[in-house]
Amino acid sequence: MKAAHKQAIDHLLRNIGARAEESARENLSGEHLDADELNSYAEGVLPQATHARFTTHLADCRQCRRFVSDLTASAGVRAPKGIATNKVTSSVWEKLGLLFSLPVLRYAMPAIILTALIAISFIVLQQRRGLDYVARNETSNASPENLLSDRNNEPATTQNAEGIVERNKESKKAEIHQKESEANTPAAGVGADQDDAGWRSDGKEDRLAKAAPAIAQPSYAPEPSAAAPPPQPRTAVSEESVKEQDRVQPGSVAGGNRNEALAQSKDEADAGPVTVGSVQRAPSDRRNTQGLAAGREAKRTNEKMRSEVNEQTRTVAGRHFRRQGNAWVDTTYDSSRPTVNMTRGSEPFEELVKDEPEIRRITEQLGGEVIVVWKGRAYRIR
Amino acid sequence: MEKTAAFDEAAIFSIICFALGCRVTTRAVEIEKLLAEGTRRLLGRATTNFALTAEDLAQRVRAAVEKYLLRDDANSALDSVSNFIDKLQADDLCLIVACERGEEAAWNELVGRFATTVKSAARSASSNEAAAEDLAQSIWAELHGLRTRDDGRPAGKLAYYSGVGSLAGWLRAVVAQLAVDQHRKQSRLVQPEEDSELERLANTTSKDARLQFGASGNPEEAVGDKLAQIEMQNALFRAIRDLADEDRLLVKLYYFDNLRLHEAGAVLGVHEATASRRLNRIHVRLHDRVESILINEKGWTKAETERCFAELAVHLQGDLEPLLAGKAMAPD
Repeated sequence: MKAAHKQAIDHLLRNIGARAEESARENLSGEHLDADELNSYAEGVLPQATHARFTTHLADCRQCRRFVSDLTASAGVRAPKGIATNKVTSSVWEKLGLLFSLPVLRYAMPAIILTALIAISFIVLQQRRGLDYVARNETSNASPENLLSDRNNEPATTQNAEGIVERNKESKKAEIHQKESEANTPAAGVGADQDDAGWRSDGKEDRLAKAAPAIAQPSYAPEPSAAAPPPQPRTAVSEESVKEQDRVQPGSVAGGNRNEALAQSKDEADAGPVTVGSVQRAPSDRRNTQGLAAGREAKRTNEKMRSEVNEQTRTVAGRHFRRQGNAWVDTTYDSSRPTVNMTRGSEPFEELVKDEPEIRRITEQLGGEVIVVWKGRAYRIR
Repeated sequence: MEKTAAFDEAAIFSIICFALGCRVTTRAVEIEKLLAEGTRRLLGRATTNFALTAEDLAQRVRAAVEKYLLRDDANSALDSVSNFIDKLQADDLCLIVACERGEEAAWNELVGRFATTVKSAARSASSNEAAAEDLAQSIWAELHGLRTRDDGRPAGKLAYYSGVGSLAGWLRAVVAQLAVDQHRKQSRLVQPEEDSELERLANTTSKDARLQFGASGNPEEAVGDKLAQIEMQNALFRAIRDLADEDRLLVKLYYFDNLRLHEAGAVLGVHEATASRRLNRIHVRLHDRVESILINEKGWTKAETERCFAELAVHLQGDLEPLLAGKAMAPD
């Protein structure tokens, strides 16, 4: 309906109401409501059917309308009074019914739905955070174990280095780059060249290794027992191992790889703690998961390498021997040094072991061909 | 054979009548029982019962139940009867019944508690303080009653208080009605009714005259416009009569009695905002109904009704009264 029409109806009604004729037409019934009925209507205390009957009368009786309107005005606002009366007389169930009535629910339901959505979103976010916590706890639990094993076992640095050597075999390009990189900052260039190697790349591990101390001491759950080992001693061990390897097998391929690996481990040791733990510093969940897998795999590799090293090195009578082909070679042996060849059971051998019984023990324990350096002289015993 | 069939029908009819009679009797008995119990509860609720017994109140309570409950809903639930009795004004009803019985203490309390209320109501209904004082004094005589009933008790207005509403409100209503009665008596003495009627007719004639010269300079157009406006006005009256009782009452209170919206809402027991929304809805209904009457019964076109409403909206910005002062107000 247009506003103009509405206005026209409004003005029509106002002017009709002002007409004397209309008042003359009303109130022809003659019967009026008595004082008790007028007052009861004005106070709104009548039963519904009676109230409807009186409403019909009032709609056509100006005199009674005036009485009622005057009584209503003198008695105050009736609507709140009537509502109050209903509230007093209504039972608990009626109140609950009013609470869940359609007019109330019409406004309450959107608010309830909105609140539920917010609550669900909050819970989901909390659960996601909880998953992050779990992942970090797992990583932080794994890290001290590896670190402890590395600290308790001296060749651990070498083993880590050998693990890294294995990984380095995957990319020769990375090895070359590693040799050229500086000792303190090897990670950036290597990482840039080893993008194809994925999470295993040394560069990435180095980047992650920089954040390793933070994992060893997480802010949300401090790990009481597994403190990260100090990096300096391990670095010293690595350097010692490098020197030793250089002395024993300077020209061999495996030794070359090992040296490169040791150099890499040295770089890593300078850069920070061991990479196994540092992998877990990946910011996202996927990275955390990959870091965990990487840590486990690196650990397995280290153990495998450690067992291999144990099989190929022996220490007898204070001498260290390395397996080379079918022979056990003294680690202090230099190929440029003149070597005396002899056979077990031969006369020179018997005379030698008579003077140096430790050599007999060495040959008996090692078996096969043995090259031993004794008192500045090298002996090849078959 | 026919005799047997007739006998059977009579027997069935008798059984139905008996069953219905039994049911009615049972309901009446139950209502009487509820009335007795309710009256006892009412007496127990009263702060001061003026040594009244349940029998003293029983007749008054029964009359109230029949007048306000059973008359409009004879089959109302028994719970409704109990609830109705429990909502009666126990203190006020006991006070009035005690006054009716001539209890001096009750009269003193009635005058003491409600003298101010009566004076206030008398001032509101009177034009000056002297008239208000006269009215307030006469109200007590009206309450007590100057005449005597058959049972020897005074036939005052106290007998008409039911206890449904408050005693204060009832007294205000009595004062207002008495004031109107007195005013009518005085008006009758001062000015005859014929003069008023003549005055009203004169006013109407003057309005008609204003219409004749106000709307249009062309007499033919003026007559045509007037006929159209009369038809629209009559259609509007019919539309108002077709409204629901509460809607019609709202229209009368707001437009005819010139009450404010919150006052009209108070009479209906609704908030001002509710009354406003209801009025807007009524406007729509009236417009649609007027349009329907004019098109279907008077042969108007849709465009004509639209144009008439539009002209009304324009003309009504100024003085509308000449435009609407047609005298053909009789129903169709």
